[in-house]
Amino acid sequence: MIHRTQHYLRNLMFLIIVFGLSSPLSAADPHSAYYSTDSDKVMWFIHASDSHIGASGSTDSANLQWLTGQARNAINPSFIVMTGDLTDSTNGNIFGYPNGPYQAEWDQYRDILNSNGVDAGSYFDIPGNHDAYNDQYFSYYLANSVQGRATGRTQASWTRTGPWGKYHFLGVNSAGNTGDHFSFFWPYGDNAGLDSGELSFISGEMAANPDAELTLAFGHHPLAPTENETDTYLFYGKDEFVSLLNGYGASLYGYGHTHVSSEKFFAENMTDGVFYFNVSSLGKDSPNQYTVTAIDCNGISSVTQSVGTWPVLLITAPMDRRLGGIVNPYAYTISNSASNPIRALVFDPAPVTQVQYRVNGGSWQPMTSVPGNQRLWQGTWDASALAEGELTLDVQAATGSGARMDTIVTYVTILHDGDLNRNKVIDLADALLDLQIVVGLLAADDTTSRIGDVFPLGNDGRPLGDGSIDVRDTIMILRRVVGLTTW
Amino acid sequence: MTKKVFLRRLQSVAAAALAFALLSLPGAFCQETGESDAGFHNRQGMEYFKKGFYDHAPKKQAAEAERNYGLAIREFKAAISKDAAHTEAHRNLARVYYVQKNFEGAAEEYRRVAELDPHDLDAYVNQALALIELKKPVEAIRALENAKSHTCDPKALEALDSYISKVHAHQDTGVR
Repeated sequence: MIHRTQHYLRNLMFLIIVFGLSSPLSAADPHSAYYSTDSDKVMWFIHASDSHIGASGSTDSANLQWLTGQARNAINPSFIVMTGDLTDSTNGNIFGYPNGPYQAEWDQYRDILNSNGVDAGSYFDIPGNHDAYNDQYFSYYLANSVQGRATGRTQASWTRTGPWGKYHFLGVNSAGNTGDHFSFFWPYGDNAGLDSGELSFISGEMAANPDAELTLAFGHHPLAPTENETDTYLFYGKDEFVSLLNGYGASLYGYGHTHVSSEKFFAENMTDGVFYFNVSSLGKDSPNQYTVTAIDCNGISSVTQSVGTWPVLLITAPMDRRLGGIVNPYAYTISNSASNPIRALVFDPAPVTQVQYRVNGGSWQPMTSVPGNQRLWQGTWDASALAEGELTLDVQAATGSGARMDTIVTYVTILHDGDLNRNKVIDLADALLDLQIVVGLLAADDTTSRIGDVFPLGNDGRPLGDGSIDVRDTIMILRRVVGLTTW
Repeated sequence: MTKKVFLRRLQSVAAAALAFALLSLPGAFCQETGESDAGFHNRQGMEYFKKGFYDHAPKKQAAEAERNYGLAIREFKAAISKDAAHTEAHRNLARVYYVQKNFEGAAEEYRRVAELDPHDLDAYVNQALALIELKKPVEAIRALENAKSHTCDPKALEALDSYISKVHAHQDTGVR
């Protein structure tokens, strides 16, 4: 019996150790986005994919040249992440049949990046299936890509630290490790997935960055089947990878491969899920697009745009409540304050002449450039007269290249602040109005009822409300008026 | 056990070890022992090809890469001389020729692969690509039509048709 007990205890201890180690001690938090007037906590980067250098009849070289040249200069991203199919592996054959690798394609790829002064600190290129056909050990990728040459690895991990804290980024190698040649038949020689070595690297890097505010991951392939039955996806290692994304609180998985762009949300076997952004091919098949992703006070925003078009415009704050095509679980709500901030990034090689915003299709209001950050524009909007619920915010930018508009949906919540007459001061008049509602002399609509419902206070000393207005709310407002409490 | 018996056993063990070592050794030993076969030469050829194509070519060590391709060709040819129907050796030889831009040789070897393995559609396509490089579009189309006659997979047929169309367009425009 004692033996058996010891056996059980040993097993229990083993399970505790195994599960304890597999659960992160600390992790990023996609729920950490906050709405703030701080304009110094904004960073942005470019996600592009499928440059397909060497593809016949495409604008592959010109587009990579443009992205790493003019676009990089105008957008000034923190970095560019290029998620695979760097080369086409066809050497321009008319069938588009990948029978490479071809050193000539890699030479062209390197020449373009070198001519634009791209380096390993700001350009993160990871392999795709076209970089893996007939090359089991990624010899050509390792000898020629920016990251392969710099690190000797097929995966990348990097961070960005600033006034916002620290963000962690991962580039994973989802291309197969068999070195199979392209084939006519499913899965076309593309045995995509993440093997134990690749997963170990990912897990190790996530564990090594427990202090990251956010974690964003990128790979070539989609995690799961798409609407197009010919699209390959992660055939192995997916569950483990998704578990890591979930366990370490990743916010986003960005990928390429399909040659179409989409903004979705992936939540299969996850607590809340990740933004699931697909960007179309930069170099092959139309439309040739890229994405600018921004993080503003830990809130993610994204815009996908065609190569060669200006201006690029992206609202970074407030967060888009509908980003990812669902009610974004990581978006914050906004109070009915009279001075809510709005920020947008505007990129253009030509001068920006005007940036303005409007609320719910109302009149246009001007925005101004943030001192010290000429690409970031800001304004203040008044939500004090708005009913609780969703609203749209439009920002329009006019530049020497043309005009563009970005629209987001956000959600305004009525504050329980006791300022019943909305004059931005809580005084005796508000207490009197509250009392009139309590004794039935004044009828209150839903918004007014919420504003006057200040009792009780939360742990942070701010009004929580209990769902109705009574004399306790009047007393609480009076206490606030005479300075016995603050909020 | 007497010393004589012990020594005899020791000799037997030594002889067995020597025989095993000879069989395991690559190259001439194997050929001389008659153990060598097309498979062995094919494997040897692949080792040389991999060295040239994956170790040297990406590092722009062209001379070293070429030297290894030459050795690979010798081995693949040796394999074929032992077994003319060794499909893998023909396929690998075709691949080295293609890498070397010896499209004449590549087209012929891919033709041979397709002959030996008529359902290997990739062989026809690679043959067609080599023929296009040789500016022989009519033969390329013939190879693709030949591929079509060996499959009933609708997606493969669609792809092959699109390739044929591309060859026609290529003929019309003369643009690569």
